Order: sequence, then C-alpha cells, then structure tokens
Amino acid sequence: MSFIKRYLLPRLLQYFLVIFVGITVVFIVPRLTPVDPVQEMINTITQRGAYMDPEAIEQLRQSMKEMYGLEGTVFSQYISLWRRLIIGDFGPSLSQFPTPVVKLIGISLPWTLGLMLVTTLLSWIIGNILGGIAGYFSSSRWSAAIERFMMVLRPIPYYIFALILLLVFGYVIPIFPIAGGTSIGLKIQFSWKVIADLLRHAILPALSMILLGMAGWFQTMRLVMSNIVREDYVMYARAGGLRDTKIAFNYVIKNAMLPQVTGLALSLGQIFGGAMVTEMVFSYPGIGGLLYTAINAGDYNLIMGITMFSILGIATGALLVDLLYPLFDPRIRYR
Amino acid sequence: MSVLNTEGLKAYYIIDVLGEKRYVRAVDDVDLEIRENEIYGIAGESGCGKTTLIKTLFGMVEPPLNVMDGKVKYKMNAEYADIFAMDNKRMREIRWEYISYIPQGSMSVLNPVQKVRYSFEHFIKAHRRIRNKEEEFIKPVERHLQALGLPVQILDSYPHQLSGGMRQRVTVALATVLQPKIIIADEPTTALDVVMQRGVIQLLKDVQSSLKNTIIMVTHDMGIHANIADRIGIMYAGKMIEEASTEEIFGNPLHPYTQYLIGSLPKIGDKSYKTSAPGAPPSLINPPEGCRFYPRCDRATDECKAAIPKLVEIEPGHKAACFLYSGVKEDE
Amino acid sequence: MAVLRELLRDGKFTFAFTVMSILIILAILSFFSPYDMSIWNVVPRDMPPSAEYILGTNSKGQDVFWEMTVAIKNSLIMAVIAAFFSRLIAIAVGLLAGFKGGMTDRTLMSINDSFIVLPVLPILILLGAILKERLNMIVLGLILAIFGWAWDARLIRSQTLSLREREFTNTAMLSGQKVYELIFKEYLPFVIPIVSATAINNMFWAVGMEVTMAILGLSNLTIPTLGTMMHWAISYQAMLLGYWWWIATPVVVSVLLFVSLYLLSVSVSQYLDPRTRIQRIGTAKVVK
Repeated sequence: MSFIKRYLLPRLLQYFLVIFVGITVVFIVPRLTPVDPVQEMINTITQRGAYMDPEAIEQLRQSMKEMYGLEGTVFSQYISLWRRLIIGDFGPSLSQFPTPVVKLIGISLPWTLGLMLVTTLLSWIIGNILGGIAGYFSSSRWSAAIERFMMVLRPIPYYIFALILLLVFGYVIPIFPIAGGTSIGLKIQFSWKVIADLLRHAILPALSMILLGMAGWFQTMRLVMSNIVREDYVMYARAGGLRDTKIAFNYVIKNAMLPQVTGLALSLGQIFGGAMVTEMVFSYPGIGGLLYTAINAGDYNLIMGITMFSILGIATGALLVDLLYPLFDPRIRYR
Repeated sequence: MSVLNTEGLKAYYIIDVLGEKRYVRAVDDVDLEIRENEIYGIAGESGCGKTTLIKTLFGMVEPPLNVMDGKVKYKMNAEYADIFAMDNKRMREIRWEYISYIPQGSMSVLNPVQKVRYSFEHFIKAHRRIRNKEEEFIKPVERHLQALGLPVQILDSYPHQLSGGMRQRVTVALATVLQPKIIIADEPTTALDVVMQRGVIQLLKDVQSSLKNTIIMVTHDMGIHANIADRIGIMYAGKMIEEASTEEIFGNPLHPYTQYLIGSLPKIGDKSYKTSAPGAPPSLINPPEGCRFYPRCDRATDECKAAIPKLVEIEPGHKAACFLYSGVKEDE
Repeated sequence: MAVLRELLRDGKFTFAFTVMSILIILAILSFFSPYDMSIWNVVPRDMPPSAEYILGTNSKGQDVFWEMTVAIKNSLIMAVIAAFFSRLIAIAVGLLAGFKGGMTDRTLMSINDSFIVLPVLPILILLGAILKERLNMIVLGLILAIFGWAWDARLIRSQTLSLREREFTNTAMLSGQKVYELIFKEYLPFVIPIVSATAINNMFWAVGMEVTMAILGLSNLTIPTLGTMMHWAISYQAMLLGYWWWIATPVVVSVLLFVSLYLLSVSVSQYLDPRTRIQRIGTAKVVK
C-alpha cells in the first residue's frame, strides 16, 4: 500500500504534470511573441506562389482561427486546446488536406517507434556493458583508450554525425541506401525479402543513433561504476574473499544499473529529438521525417500536432521506464 | 603463541599536491604480536592511524595507501606467512576462512539490492563447496544465527528493512560463520546507541569464548576496551606508544598520553576535575620531530624533541615508548 | 590564476583552452570585417581558398573567412545568453527549492522534472516555424534558456540541501542573519562553481540546437551563424558542386567548438569533483 502512495502516485502525478507543463508551454510561448500564426501561415502559403484573392484569404483566416481556437478569450482558447487534445483531434493537415493530422502521425509512428525502441535499447545495453567493464577496470590502458574514443564521439551533434555516415556509406562506399524506409514500390508484407529490405534501410539511421547514444551511456556508466567500485559493500565483499566475477555482477553492476534506469527515463526526450534529426537526414518515413516535410510545407497544423503528440509520447515512455524501476530496486518495493 | 605479527610496519598515504608528493604517515613503524585466544584492543584518538593499521593487517592496501616497509605475518599451519608476499588468489582464499572483518558502520556494507540470505551464500560459497544446499548451507547458517540469538527471518530481509543494531549483528554473524582464527573489528559499536552497543559487545565476547580465537578490536572508546579487551595497545600519531594488559593500562598507565586518556574517564564516586591532553593531535603529514607527543606533554625534556623513543618492555608484559622510563631511541 | 595553472596541467583542458581562445579571437576579428554580411555578391563567387580569400568565397558572393568570424561571434553570443539566463533560473529555482524544502521543494522539483523530460526539439521547431525571421540571436538565446535550466536546478538544489544541513546555517539563522543575506553570502559561493561547470555544458547544448534549427531552415537565415552557414552551403549543393571550403568551414569550426566546449566542461567538473581529484593523484608504486 505504501508503495502505491510513496512511489506510484507521485509518478502518475508527475506524468500528468509533464503533459500539463508541455502543453502549456506550447500554448503560451507562441502567444508571448508578437507573431500571429494565422497571418504567418497565410504568408507562407502566398509566398509559395499560390494566388488567392483577398476574399478567399479572409475566409481562410476565419476558418483557421476557428480551427486553432484563436477565437474567444485566452482562457477559452486554452480550454479548447485541451479539449482537442483529449479527443485526439489535431485538425486536418494543411499540406495534405484534408487528411487528419492524427492519421498522418499514425502512419509514421510505427517507423519511429521501431527505430527508437531498437536503437535506444541497443545503445543502452552496449553502452552500459562497455562502460561497466571500462569503469570496473578503470585503471587499465584500454579502458582509457575506449574512454578517449567515446569522448570524441559524444559531443558530435546528431545532424553532423548522420551526415558523415551518409557521405561515407551512401556516396563514398555505397553499400547502404541513402534514403527512405523501404525500396520504392515495395509492398509491405511478411517475407524475408521485405524484412531484409527494411533492415537495410534502417541500418544507417540506426547506426548513427546507436553509436552516439552508446557514447553517452558509456560515459555515465563508467563514472557510476568507478564510484560504486569504492562503495562500502563492494569493499566488504572483497574483504570476504568473493570472486571478482561475483562481485562484478551481484554487487557492482546490480547497483550501477539503478541510476542508469532513471537516466533512461529522464533522457527519453533528448533521444526522441535525436531520432527526429536522424530521420530527417535519412528521409526516414517516421515522425521526424513527417515533421521535416511539415516544416518545408509550412504545415503549422501538422507541426503543432506532432509537438503535442511527442509530449504525450515521451511522457508516457518515461512513465513506463519509471514503472519498471521498482523491479530493480527492492528499496522501492518493500519498506 | 602469536597468531599475527608485524615487523616495522609502515603504511603511508601518498598524496600529490600540485606535483609535490606528500606522505601521510598513518602507520609508522609498528611492531605487534597478537596472541592466540585473546581480545586485543587498539585505542587512540580519531586520525591516529587505527583504521589504517587494521586495513594493513587485513591486507586491504589500495592506492593512495601504500605499504612502505615492514611485514604482516599470519601464523598458518604452524608457519608464519608474509601476506604481502602472497599472490591475489591465496589472499582471496585465506580471507574470511582464516581472518575476517567486522566493519565500521554496518549501514552501507550490505548490498542494498539483495536479501541478507545472498550475502551469507556468497561469502560461504567463495570458500566452501556446497553440494547439498539444504544440509550444507541453509541448516548450518540457521543454526549459526540461532546460536548468536538472531532471528532466522532476517535472511529474507533486505538490509534497509533491518535496524542499525540488527545490521551490525548480521555483520558479526557473517564474520564468524566460517569460524576464522582472527576477527578484526573496526569500531563495531560507534554507530549504535548504548543499549545496542552492549548487545554487540556481549555477542563478540560470547563468540570469542566459544571459538577460542583472536579478536582485534579497534575503538576510540576506552570504556569498551575496559569491558572486552585482554590486552590493549595505545596508538598515537601513527605509532604504538604503549601496550599492556587491560588491568595494567587502566591501573598503571605509564605514557603521559595514556595517563591523560585514562585520567579523562569518569569513575564512580570520583568528583575530581577531569583533564584531557592540551592541544590537538599532530598532522600526520608533518609530525613533530622526536617524540610525536612532546608538544602536548607537560613532562617533555629536550631529549623528547630530538629523538623518537622506542617501544620497549618497562615491566614484564608492559611496553611503553617514553624517555621517562627508558632511554632507548628509535634508530633513524 | 592558480586555478588556471592547475587546470592547464590537464592535457584535455590545455587543448580545449587553446582552441577556445583561437575561436574567441576569430569572433573578435569579425568587428574588423571589411564586408557587410547582409549584402550579397561583394566578391567573386565560388573561389577556392587563395591568398586574397583565405577560405575562398561562396555562391552568395561572400568571403567565407569573414562570414565565419561573424558566424562564430553570433553563435557564441547566442550560447552565452542562453547559458546566462538559464543559470539565473536554475540558481533561483535550485536555491529556493533546496532552502525552503517541503511543499515548495516538491512543487518546484515536479515542474523541474517535467522540463527535463519534455521533448525540447519539437517544441523549438514549432516556435521556429512560427517566429522564423523574427528569431534573432537574442530571442533564440532566451528561448533556449527557458528549456535549459532544469538539470542544473536539480544539482544546485542538492548542493543547497547539503549546505542547509551544515552547522553554519543554524549559527547564521540563530544569530539573526537575514535569509537573503545567508543565501547570497554563504550559499552562492558554493553554488557558483557548479554553475560555471554546467554553463559550458549549456552553451554546448545551445549551439547544437541552433545548428539543428538553422539546418532545418527554422531560424533567421540572414544572420550568419554556424548553423545558417551550413544551411546555405547545403541548400546550394556546395558538396556536390565541389565547393568543399564552404561546407567544410562551418562543419570543422563547429566540431572544434563542440569538442572544446565538451572537454572544457569535462575537465572543469573533474577539477571540481573531489572524488575524481583523488583519482588523479598518481597511484604510486607499492613498495614491498
């Protein structure tokens, strides 16, 4: 019972708070700027060369204002934003009128989810294993060598790293496709050919995310590890003459995992940002790719929808990781 | 018959301050002879090198701590073996089997993410082959706990679910489960309240009298020493300055520092003003030349400033390092 | 000065410090630029590096070297603004939460954690899409400051919590020192070092965000920054046309900037962390 009160309820509250803060920021910040998004969008459309007579523009303005809930007081606008969020209605896409934004997101979501899930897990596992070993033997020479390699890898922004991979493996040594999620015209069905094609297209985006993500996990794990090695319970186990492998697995790694699980929950937002950038570079058909086309088409509605949707998605993801945490830490489970 | 000897043991911390090496002389030329079937107390103020001494006795020497000189010998199979000459494998084997350790502050020595049962299992399996878990592990451990008056249910608890006193008793049970010849206890009662302290001290005494082994007990609390120790060594600034039986230390302290230490203890019926040694213990980086205690000693002479007195036998079984009793100097 | 000398012992720091100094000198040089970067076609187009144009010229008819100096200046200013204002928020929130504790602490930390989890990039993209040309370096810096304080507020809070437990807090409170005096005179000196280490981290993050947004075309493309330089080079297909100097310059400069900022933050925080300080103390040989 106290577990629910002490751990579960605060997490759930936190979950709603993240969504609340995120949506509120999305609502407030554009309103703090002197920009009228509707006017801005009409400008974008007219700039693109579409001729519209003033009357049509006025009509468009009116309908858009309604759609964004820019009618009425600020408070009623805010309420209507929440209402639309709860019923899952982000309106139609402007660039692919009249397809609803929700449908477009629905099409892209499996791609991003698949890419993110696989790369996040792989980079987390590989980074933690490597970092763990390097931290456990932190005085050895090769540990320092890997550390130096990761130190160079870590600060490279996703965009530049993905670009470099694209250049090397797409143009210089063209062994991987440079864009897309599948070969053009491929029908998605369950066969080895399709799976192989999907994997071939996913390798470069996945590789860029795994390598950069791994560097980050490696470094924190190495630090956590080299601190835990000096913890009293590790010293005590060593005094007890336990074998090194036993100490490493049951005493060091089990404890070092804990901050890394919390870290995973907290960094999901950043990982998601990285996934978006990667998808944009590789024209991957996920949420990031969709966002990129939305930016280029000036599809404010789609951008707004994706932003709100990602806040929901990331908060949910973080909540799920947090709910897994008690499995690792008995101090949370029993009191 | 001694079970553990040291000869001229020197263990320093080496610290690099802006490229300049500094030595913290935490254990400086210590000779010990600890006997079979006794409780040997090591006393002294905090920062006098007690904890470093027992780390070195236990062979847990990791940088920045370094053994500069001297030997630590365990008596095994009627022979004395130098532990710093052993390889890691041998070292690992004799730990817990031959010499075990009760840590200071049990708060963080038990792995927080595993049940106490697994601590017992790991510690035992590291040294014994267990084929029949029920017969060779579970039953003996439960018997052991019952013998020490501990509830068997603690095996299925996580450390954070136990009280501080219970955790400390678990470490006593762990340290004795393989019936080692020597047990080193590092301030085992410091973190506990007085009632708990009594329980743990009594437990240690009982363990010793049933196992007939040796306990090296380190604490700054002279009251505990009076209660438990057979012989006591007094440490000051990295050196052993007096060693005698408990009655002698309390009844006839020789070294002025020991006299201050004993004199500051309250006694029933005694209403006199208690004095303690003036000043503070010296830095172990730049200890005073000569006797380490002379700046705080009201009986210091010029000789005390010039040379270090050696720990020599003044009366049978009573050693002291003070020029008031003997002129023997340490050769340096 | 003594701090700097000790830091310079660290090879990482020396490297990063040298690179950073060069970049700052380049940024200062921008004030002596012979060209106005808002005007196109002032020099011949697409010239490779030569004695006259050190880093060549681009397809917009601008000198790449001078464009680069202005870009470094703008990117650095933006990063400093972002770091400065996010630090102000972080200090305020961290000190308040740590000192007040209780309900204030819980509320502030919940908001704080929400900001940590929040996916910043989509929100920035949304803002960029709305603001675009109005997004100058100062506005961008301020917006980034709104999203970049949460991690550090947490750090400052835990430092404040431990300070509050110390003796001097009680002494000061009992002797009637005012709370704000206590916070400014006694706590701030402990908090400033944390802030300086994380400020570098924050600048690093801000430059990365700017580059990402600019490449996506979501900032004011008329202002030369490291990001907009890349944007123009990419959109003019500089790579395919073989104008490598145009694309390579911002990429190399930003990689240098990223690596040096990162190494600075690593070595400064290592310097400040007593645990790693002990690690750095040489492991002298065991004498047997």
